[in-house]
Amino acid sequence: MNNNKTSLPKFPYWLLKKINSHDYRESYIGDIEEEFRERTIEKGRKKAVLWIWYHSIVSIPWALKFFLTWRYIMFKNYLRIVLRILHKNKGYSIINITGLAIGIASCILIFLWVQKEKSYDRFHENLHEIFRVTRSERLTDGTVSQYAGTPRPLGPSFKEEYPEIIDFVRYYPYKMDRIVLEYNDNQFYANRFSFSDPSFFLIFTFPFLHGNRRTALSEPNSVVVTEQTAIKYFGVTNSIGKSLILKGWGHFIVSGIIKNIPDNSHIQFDFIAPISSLFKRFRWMKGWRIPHFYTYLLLNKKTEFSRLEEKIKHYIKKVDPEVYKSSNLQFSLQSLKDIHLHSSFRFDLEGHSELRAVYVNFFSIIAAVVLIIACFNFANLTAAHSGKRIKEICMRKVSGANRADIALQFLGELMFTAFISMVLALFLVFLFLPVFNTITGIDLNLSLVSNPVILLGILGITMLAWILSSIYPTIILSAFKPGRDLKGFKSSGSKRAFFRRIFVIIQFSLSLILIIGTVIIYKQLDYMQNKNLGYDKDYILYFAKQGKLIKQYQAFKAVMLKKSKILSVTASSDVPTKTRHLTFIDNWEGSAPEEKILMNFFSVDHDFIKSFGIEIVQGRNFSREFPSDMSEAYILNEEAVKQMGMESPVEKEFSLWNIKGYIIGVMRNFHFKSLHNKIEPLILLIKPEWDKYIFVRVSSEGIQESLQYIEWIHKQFNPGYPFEFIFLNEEINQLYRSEKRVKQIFQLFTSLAIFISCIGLFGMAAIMAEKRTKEIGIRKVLGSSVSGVVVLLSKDIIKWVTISMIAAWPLAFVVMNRWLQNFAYRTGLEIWIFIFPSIATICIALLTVSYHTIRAARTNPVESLKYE
Amino acid sequence: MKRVLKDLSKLEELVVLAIWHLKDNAYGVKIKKKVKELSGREYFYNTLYTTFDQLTKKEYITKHFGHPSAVRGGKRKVYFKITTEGMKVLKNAYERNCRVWKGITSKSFTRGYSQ
Repeated sequence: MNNNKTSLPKFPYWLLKKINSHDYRESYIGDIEEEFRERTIEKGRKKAVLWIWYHSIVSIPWALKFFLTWRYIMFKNYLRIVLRILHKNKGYSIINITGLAIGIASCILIFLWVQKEKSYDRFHENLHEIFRVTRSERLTDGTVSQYAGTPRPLGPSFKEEYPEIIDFVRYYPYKMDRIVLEYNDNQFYANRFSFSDPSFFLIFTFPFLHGNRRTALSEPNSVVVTEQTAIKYFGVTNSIGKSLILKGWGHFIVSGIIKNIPDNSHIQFDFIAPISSLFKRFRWMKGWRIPHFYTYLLLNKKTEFSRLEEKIKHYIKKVDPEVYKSSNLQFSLQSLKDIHLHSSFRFDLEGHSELRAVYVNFFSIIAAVVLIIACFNFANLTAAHSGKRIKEICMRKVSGANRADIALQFLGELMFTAFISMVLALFLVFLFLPVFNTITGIDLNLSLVSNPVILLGILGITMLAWILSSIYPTIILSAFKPGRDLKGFKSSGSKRAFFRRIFVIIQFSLSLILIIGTVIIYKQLDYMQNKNLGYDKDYILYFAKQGKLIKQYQAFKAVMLKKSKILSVTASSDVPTKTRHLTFIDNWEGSAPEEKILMNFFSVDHDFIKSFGIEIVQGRNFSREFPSDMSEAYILNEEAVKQMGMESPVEKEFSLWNIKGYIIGVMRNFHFKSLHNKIEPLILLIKPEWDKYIFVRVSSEGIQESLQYIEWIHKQFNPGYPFEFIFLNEEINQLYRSEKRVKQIFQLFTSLAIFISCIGLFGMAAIMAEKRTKEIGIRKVLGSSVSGVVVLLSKDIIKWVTISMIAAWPLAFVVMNRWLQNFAYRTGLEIWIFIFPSIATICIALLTVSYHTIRAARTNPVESLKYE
Repeated sequence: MKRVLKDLSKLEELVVLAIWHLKDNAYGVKIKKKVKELSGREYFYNTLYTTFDQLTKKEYITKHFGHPSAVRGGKRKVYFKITTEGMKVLKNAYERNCRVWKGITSKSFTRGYSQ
């Protein structure tokens, strides 16, 4: 027989061989070969080859079905075994699954939060084409300050100049005073009142319920409100045409109702009116030197953003060369996408800063840490528990399974547990979401789960948890050898114990880092809240100076002070929590020609320094005995003096813009901004028409009474202006809101991490005690005491935790030191911050294992040695 | 206990019949040919082996291995044999077919349904 002629075509033959794995494979292949040869002889090789190709391809579906059937049968077997094992070792399974579920749940929570943070402003249809213009100025000492605000003519000029700019919009959230609205004879403060160009609704996507987005802001004195505002004030959604009176502004007609603004928008308002109304009222808001507006540009889709940025950079040179020369003012562009998380500008809209991005990363890491702890825990327990499966695995191997089969079995099994954990985790998330929301102060809800990205994320987290937790046990479990291990001796090699120890050490290091972090955050918050700010912040309340109070302030003050419980009354242009006045100073006695510094300034009344308890270190306070104080007296803080380099500042000449005057005193530095910032130069002057707030210091007793009195007087003087006040110290605490959140989130995750580590340790202790039952029995027979055995069993744990301690300290130091860099004024990192939590961790660890060690130590040796 | 014999499917019937025809020489290639001869249709080996498998499970046929031969690339044949139960079932099938088709010839179909 010619071998060449009758040999089978390789590929289909191989395919047929490969895909048929049933009992009759041998004779099946034989039949194929036989028939192939017959066909070659009868009909020629070509036809035979064709036949075998045809046959092999047609058999693929059969083979597939066959394959799946067997997989299914094996799967059923595996599933039954998993359930049986979970059921049989309930305690261990509960520990395992809960631990993993907590890890996954914390990841899901943080993931939801991160998604929310990242979703800011993503709902705008023109997202990729909207850019905000920002500016930067350079000081003589080379420091560059960046600002979010830009001048009024910038938008229109840019649009005219550069064809790639389709449109612009200026946005101005009004904060100069509180706008009083009148509707149906009811008066109330408008909380978030903004002004903008008519193009606002064309550039940004805020869907309208009623009204036309093209024309809503084109009429002067029109106003667009949000749905909830409309319902709150008018009682109905469709309130188009309703007329509101803005005190001092005139009538405004509602021209549109928009859907409520989503939380994840950086632009937030209740009312928005045409910016022309604002310009009409404040005629000084013009020119290139008043940069109070947020200008957004809508660019052409094809615009190269960097090229445009290059063009606009030095635009100021054309229109105001003097400003360019003096402050090197430059413009740049910021994508709408970056505003929420990547801004670091002065005078930006609230709540958007780089710090948020830092926290997003920070918490992602913490969530990952908790997940890692949970996974290691799971891996460790599963591996430690593997002794129970030796017989099963060896039986499978004896019946023909190879290592890959066993590995697959356990991967599948652990995937199953991972998914049970995921379901439990989702349930936990569902339960704890409200708590998490109160802690973080954001509104997350599970409806987000319907979002495919989030769904994928949750699945991804689960898969990650599965991989992290299953690799190690799978390697351990699949390595059992029937010949060696079925005998049941020596199931734990020293190498395996080493890995297990490493896992425990990593777990505890991470937990310890979290604990130390929590302590440091606590300390820093405590430090910030109790730090001497340089003035007395307690029992001061403030409210707006507006309406008739502007003119009758002195009379109002006199009446107020009649009450003995009201200790002092003063007024100022700024609140020492939110300062808004900042300028360049370049004209003082002894200043170099090009020298200038950035100076904060407040206008105050004569009693400000006294009321706030600020110390005067040189010179004198403002005094009514010197009428000239009203126009030409300045008080500086020490920082300003230092930066100006004055030796003896008192009586020196000093000019704010072109108002010439004299320095009459120097006050001690006080914190007029949050402790994130260093104390900056500050100057006080008297300018009653700038004062926007009235501060009242009340006696610590009878606060209620004082409040009623103030309200009553306020009503007498200022009818038509509702009385709303804020306590200064509450507002100061508000400054550290985000730190407080960080603290609470840290606390939450720390406790979770400790909990997971402890249940892990608990399980480990149980397994270890069980493994050493005989050893303990023998030791006791030979005269060991209960305490001796307890010490023996606890010794290991102490050793591990001590090692993790030493590993955790430097890491915790580095990480927390970086966090503290966010604050200009920070608490010290003392050694006890590291030692106390470590001792606490050892105690917790010992307590956790004590249940099992004591139980094991107290067992009667007769019981433990009975079986042999 | 008397076993209830399940009716054979058409293909099963064909296969058992083919094995019966082939007597001691009933293995894959030959059965396939016989089935083709009887029914005029060419079946795939996969189909046939699935049927063998079912019939073996129902214990209507048994299998035993033959010797390897060069023409089969050294693979052994599997020979099938009908069991007593298989014979009974085959007989049942025959009787049933006779009953069902009694009095009907191919001419019966030429006149059309309405007679």
